[in-house]
Amino acid sequence: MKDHDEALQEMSFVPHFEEIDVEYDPGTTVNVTMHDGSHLRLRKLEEDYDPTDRIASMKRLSEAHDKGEVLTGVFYVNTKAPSFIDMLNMVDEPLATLPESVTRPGREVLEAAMEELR
Amino acid sequence: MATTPAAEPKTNHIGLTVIDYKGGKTTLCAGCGHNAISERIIEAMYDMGVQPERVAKLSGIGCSSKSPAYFMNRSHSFNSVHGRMPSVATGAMLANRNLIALGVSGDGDTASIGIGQFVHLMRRNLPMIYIIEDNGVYGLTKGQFSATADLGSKLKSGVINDLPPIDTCGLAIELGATFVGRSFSGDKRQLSTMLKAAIAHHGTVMLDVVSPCVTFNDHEAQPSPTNT
Repeated sequence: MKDHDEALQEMSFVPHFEEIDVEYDPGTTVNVTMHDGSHLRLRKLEEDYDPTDRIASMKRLSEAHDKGEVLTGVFYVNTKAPSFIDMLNMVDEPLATLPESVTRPGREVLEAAMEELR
Repeated sequence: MATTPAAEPKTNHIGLTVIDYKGGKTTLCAGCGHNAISERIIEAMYDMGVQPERVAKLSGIGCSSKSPAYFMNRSHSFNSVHGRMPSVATGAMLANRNLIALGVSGDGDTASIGIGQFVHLMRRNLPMIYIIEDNGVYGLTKGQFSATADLGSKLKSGVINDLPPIDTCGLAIELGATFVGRSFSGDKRQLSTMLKAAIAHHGTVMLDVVSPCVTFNDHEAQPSPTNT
């Protein structure tokens, strides 16, 4: 274990840094100077971007990668897809509040099931 | 002599003040982007008039996953096992669909140990907001590269990342998430707007928020430094 004990970082005092704030317009890029002086290039989606086109959103992300840019904004929205909860037909009430009468099948249900299996 | 009555504190449309959405004092490094994200969450929840007791804060392990302690201390909270927050969120939402699930994860928690759970969460379209506080490193364990670190990133020790990053947004769109976006922790206006839209959405919201780590990861992503 000690043979592979390689230090990743030099542990030392962590100085106080200010948070990095940015403000830039849609459709433009900005180079953000990080705390160590390196840069991150952000590009904000333009205002007329259509987030309902799934294929186009994937293409935009790939193009940004190729340019070395970090694309920001809402890439994709679909308001019509059913949620997992809807698909499972979950009840509106919290499950913990359901009375035993609706969570525990009666004896006749068990007998009917057993009868089917005979 | 007449005294001026103290001004009533400003409230949102459900009668709560912004104090009602605050959490504990942060223990993260000064300047950490995660603190800015917590502030935007507080703002968005206040502005949208969300009842704090309806919110379930869920997280995994990492600097990011500590951050739910720093906002909305009236809400439910569950700090799960590393990378397993999606399962806990799924169980919570199936048990009580009236909750608003807010998951906070990190790039390591999501894109490495939790990638399996992340993938299945995205394809199920569970109603929840899943935020990745993405700094490209494992901060709690002193700065190893995560799977979202840029190709060619360099640690202070000189180690260079030779592996291409996973784009969590591309993955989420491919798999079926129904609201996918990316922002920067310091872009107050954009992040605040995205969070409000996320609260209004019914389905899986995946927001990747690039968040500078002041201690372990500041890196050049390869672009030329020219504004346009």
